[in-house]
Amino acid sequence: MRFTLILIVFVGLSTTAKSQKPVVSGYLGKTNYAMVKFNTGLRFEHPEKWKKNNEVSSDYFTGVDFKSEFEMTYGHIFSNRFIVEGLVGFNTTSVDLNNMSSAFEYSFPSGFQSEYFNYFGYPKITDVYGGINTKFYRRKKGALAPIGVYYGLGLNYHSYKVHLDHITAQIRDYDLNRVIATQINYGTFTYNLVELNGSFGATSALTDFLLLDLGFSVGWVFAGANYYENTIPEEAGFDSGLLEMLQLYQIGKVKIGLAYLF
Amino acid sequence: MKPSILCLLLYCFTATSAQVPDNFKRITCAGEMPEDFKSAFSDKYKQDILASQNETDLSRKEVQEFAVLTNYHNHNLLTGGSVLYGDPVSTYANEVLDLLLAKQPQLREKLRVYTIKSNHVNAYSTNQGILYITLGLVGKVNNEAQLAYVLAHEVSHYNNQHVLHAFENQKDIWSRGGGYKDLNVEEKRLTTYKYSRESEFEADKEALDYYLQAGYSTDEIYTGFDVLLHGYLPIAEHKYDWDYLENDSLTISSHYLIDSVAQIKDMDDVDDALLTHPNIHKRKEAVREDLSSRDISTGKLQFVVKDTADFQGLQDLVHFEMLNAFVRSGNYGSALYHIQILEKRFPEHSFLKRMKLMCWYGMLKMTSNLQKTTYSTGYRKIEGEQQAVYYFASKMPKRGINILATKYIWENTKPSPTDSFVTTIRRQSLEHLAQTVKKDFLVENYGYKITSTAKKKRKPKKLDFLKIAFVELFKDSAFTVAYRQAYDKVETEKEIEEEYTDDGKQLSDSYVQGVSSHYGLSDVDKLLFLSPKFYRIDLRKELDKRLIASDKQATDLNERSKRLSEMAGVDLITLDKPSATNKTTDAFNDFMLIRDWLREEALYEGVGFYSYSTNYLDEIRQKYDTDYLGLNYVSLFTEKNQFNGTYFFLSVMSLYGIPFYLYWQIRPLHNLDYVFVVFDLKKGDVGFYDLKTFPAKYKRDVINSHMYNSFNQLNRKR
Repeated sequence: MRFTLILIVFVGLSTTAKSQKPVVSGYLGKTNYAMVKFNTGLRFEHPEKWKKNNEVSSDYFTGVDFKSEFEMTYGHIFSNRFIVEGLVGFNTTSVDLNNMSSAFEYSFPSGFQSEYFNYFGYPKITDVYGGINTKFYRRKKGALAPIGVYYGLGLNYHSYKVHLDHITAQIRDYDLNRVIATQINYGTFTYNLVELNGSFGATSALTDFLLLDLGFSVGWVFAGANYYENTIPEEAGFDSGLLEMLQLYQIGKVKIGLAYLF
Repeated sequence: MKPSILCLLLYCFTATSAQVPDNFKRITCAGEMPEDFKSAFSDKYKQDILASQNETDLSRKEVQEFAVLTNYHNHNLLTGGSVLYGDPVSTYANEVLDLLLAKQPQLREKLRVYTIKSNHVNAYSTNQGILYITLGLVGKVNNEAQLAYVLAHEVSHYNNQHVLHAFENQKDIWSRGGGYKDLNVEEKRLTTYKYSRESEFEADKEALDYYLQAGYSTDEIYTGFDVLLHGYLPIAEHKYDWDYLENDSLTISSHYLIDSVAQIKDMDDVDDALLTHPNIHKRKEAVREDLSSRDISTGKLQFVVKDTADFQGLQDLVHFEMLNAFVRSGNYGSALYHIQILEKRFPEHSFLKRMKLMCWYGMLKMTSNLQKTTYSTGYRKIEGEQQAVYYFASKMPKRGINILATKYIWENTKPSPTDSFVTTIRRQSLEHLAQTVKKDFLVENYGYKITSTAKKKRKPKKLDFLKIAFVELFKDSAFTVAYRQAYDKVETEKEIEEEYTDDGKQLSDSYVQGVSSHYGLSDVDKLLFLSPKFYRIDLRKELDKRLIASDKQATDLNERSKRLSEMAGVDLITLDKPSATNKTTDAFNDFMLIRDWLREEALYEGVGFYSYSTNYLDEIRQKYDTDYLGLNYVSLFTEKNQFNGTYFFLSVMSLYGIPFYLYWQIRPLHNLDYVFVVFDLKKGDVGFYDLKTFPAKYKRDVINSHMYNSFNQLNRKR
C-alpha cells in the first residue's frame, strides 16, 4: 500500500508525454445498446381498467394502482460520460370522468333542455410516444458510461388518443327534478403533448452483454398553444381535467430496463 | 576485537582472489522455482490452519488469524521481488544448514533458507520453516562460523515454534485477561518484551547444539555477536579520501570536511527492558555459561563448507550487490563510502566506476527533489569514518553538489553512443547545472575570478572554491559546446513547457474531482504487466478477514485483467504470475529487476531521473519485445460513519428525520481507489495513467469498465 501511495505521487508528476484525446470505450468495447424498459408508478385513479357503459354508482375507484409503460430504447455512447438514447413507447390508461361535469346545454328529443351534465366512467386513453433522452454519468462516483450512476434529461412527444365513444352522462332536469342517465358519443380525440423529464438512476452489468438499468424519472407534460382547439367542442373543463391527469401521470415513474449491448 | 577492524584487516590482506566479474550486474535467482514462491496465499494459510489446529490451544478463530497474518507477510515478501532463491548466497546458507542439521535430517527437511536483498544485518525464521537472511548479514560476518551460528539460532526459533508461542503469549497478555488482567498497558508491553527475550535466550542455547556438532569455533559465537551489535556500520572502517574530486582547478574547502568523526559506540550492555532481544553482553554471558556446563571439546573451525578464499569471493559478490541496494534506496552516502572500500581490492572495476558515477548523478538529481534528499540527512547519527561522507553531503549546498557531480561525471566518462547510461548522465548533469547554477557563477579562467573579486572588494565566500571548478574543462572545446547547448536548451524548454501546460489543459482528462488521467500512449499492443493488487481495508473487520478478502479480489482481478486486455487487443505478459503452473525463474528475475527499477524511480518525483536499473531495461525490452510496463492497483477503504451529535439532535427534534438519520448513521463510508499506470521503459518515464478515487463500493462491473477502458485507451489506434 505504501508503495502504491508513493507511486501515485510519483506518476502524478513525472510524465512528459502529451496527453491525447481518449476514445470511447463503452462497456468492454460495445458502444450501442437496445433496451426494453418497463416504467411504472403509483396512481390514485383507475388507469388500466377502462370500461364502457359502466354504471354510475358501482365503479368508483378508491384504492391505489400501478400504471405501466413499455419502451424500446436505442442508446449510443458518445463519450465516457455521455449517452444519447432514442426511444419509442406506448401505454394505455384511462381518464376518470367521475368528477367532471359540464354546463353544456343538451336537447332531448322530447324537447327537454338540459343545462348541466355529470360524466361517469373511465374512457380508454392510448399513448404512443417517442423522444430522446440524454444521460450524464457521474464520474465522481466512479461511473464510466454506460456503467454507474447517471443523471438524465429527456424530451418526449406524446400522442394521446382519448376514446370518448360511449360516455355515460347524468343529466339533471331541474324542471322535473329528476336525473336521467344517457350515453353520449363524442368519438376519438387526439391530444399531442410534449413531456420534459429528468431522471436519476444506475446501470450495472449482468453479463458482458446485458445491462440492468434502474432509475426513476420526474417529468411534466406541457400543453401546446392549440391544445384546447382540437378537443371536445366547448368542453374546456374536460380538457383541463384530462391535462391535469396526464401531468400527474408523468410526474414520477420508476424505470426498469434490460439492455443488450452491441 | 571490533568486527569493523576485522573487516578492514580482511580487506587489507586479501588483495588476491578478486572473483567478481568486470561485467557484474546483480545477483539473481537460479534453478527451479521453489514451491514457496509458486503457491497461492490462500493455499498456504489453509494448509497452516489444518496443520496447527492440534498443536495449539488457540481458538479456531485465533488459529486462522495466526495462519493468515504470518502467511500474508511471508507470501508478500517471497513474491514481492526482494527475496532470492538458488543464488550463491542462499545456496551457501542452505549448505551450511545441511552441515548444522546433519544429525537431524527430519528437521532439515522442513527448512529452507532464502536471501533478502537488504543491507540491514538481520535474519529471522517463520513458522512455515523458512529462514531468511539478508545480504547485509552475509556481507558483514567475518567467516562461515558466524553465519552458521545465526542460522542455528533461527533453526531453534523454528524448532521451538517461537513465532506461534509469541502469538499465543500476545493473546494471553492483551486479549484474555487472566493472570495479566491487572497489568496496565506499559506493564503488558514490558511483559511481552520479556517473553521475547526469553525466547532469544532459549534459541541461543539450543543453537549451540547444532553449532557445536558441526565443529565450528566457539570463539566465533562471541565475535558474531559483535557483528550483530555493530550491524549498522559499514563493512569496514576506512578514512574517506576526497582526492579523486580534486585537481589543479579544484581543492575541496576544508569547511566541508569533518575534523573528527564520531566514535563507534560500545552498546553491548544497554538496558534491554524495552527491547525484543537481550543485550549482547547478556547473550554472550549466557552462552559462555552454557558452554562451560557442557562436557564437550571446543571446535576450532571458522570455515567448513567453503574455504576462506571462496567465502571471500562470495562476500565480494554480496558487497557488490549491496551497492545496488544502496543506490536503489538513494543511500548514495553509504554507496560512495563502500565503493571506495571495494576499490582497494578492485581498483579498475567497471561496475564500481559506474556505481560511483551513479552516486554523483543521483545526488545531483536529488537536489531538485523537494521532499527527499536521503544522501545528506542525519550525519550526526552516523558513527565512524562513514560520517565524513554524510557530513560533506549535508554541509555542501545543492549548488555545490551539482557542480562537483557534473565535473566528476564529465571527467570520468567518454561519449559512447551505445551506452545510454553514460550519454544520459553526461547530458542531464549539464542540463541540471544549467537549471540550478547561474551562468556567471562559473568562471572560464583563473584571471577573471581574481579580477572580479578584487573589483567588488567582497569577502570570500565558502563556495568560492567552486567558481573555478570548470576552468580546466572550459579548455576542452567539446565541453564548452555541450555546456552552452545545455544552457540554451534549458531556456528553450521553459518556453515549450509553458505551451505544453496550456495544451495539456485542453486535452487532459482530469477535470473531474478524484479523476486524474493522462493518455500519453495510444498504440500499445503488448504490455509487460505486474499482476494487479487489491487492498481491502475495512476497519469494521479484523485484519485477517481483510487480508483474505484482499487476496480473493486480487486473484479475481488478475484473471479479469487477462480477459479484458485480450478484448482490447493488448497482449499481456504477466511477469510475476505467468501462470499458475508455469512460473519460471527467468521471468521471476525479470520481475525482480522491474520491481527494483520501480523502487528506484519512486525516489524521484518528476525530475526525469535515469535510475541505475534502467541500464538493464534494454534486455527486458528486447526479450519481451515491448517498451511498456503496466501496473494496476485497486483498494477499497471502508469505515463506520462517526456519530454526529448535531445530526442526531436535529433528527430527534424533527421526528421525521429519524429514519434519515438512522440510514446515514448505519451506512458505512467507502472509498475506492483505482490506479493504472504504464511506464515507457525506453524513456524511463510514465507514459499513461488512470488515477481515480471514488466514494463508492467495490463493484466488479465498475472495475471491469475502468480496466477495459485503460487497456482500450492504451491501444486505441488499433
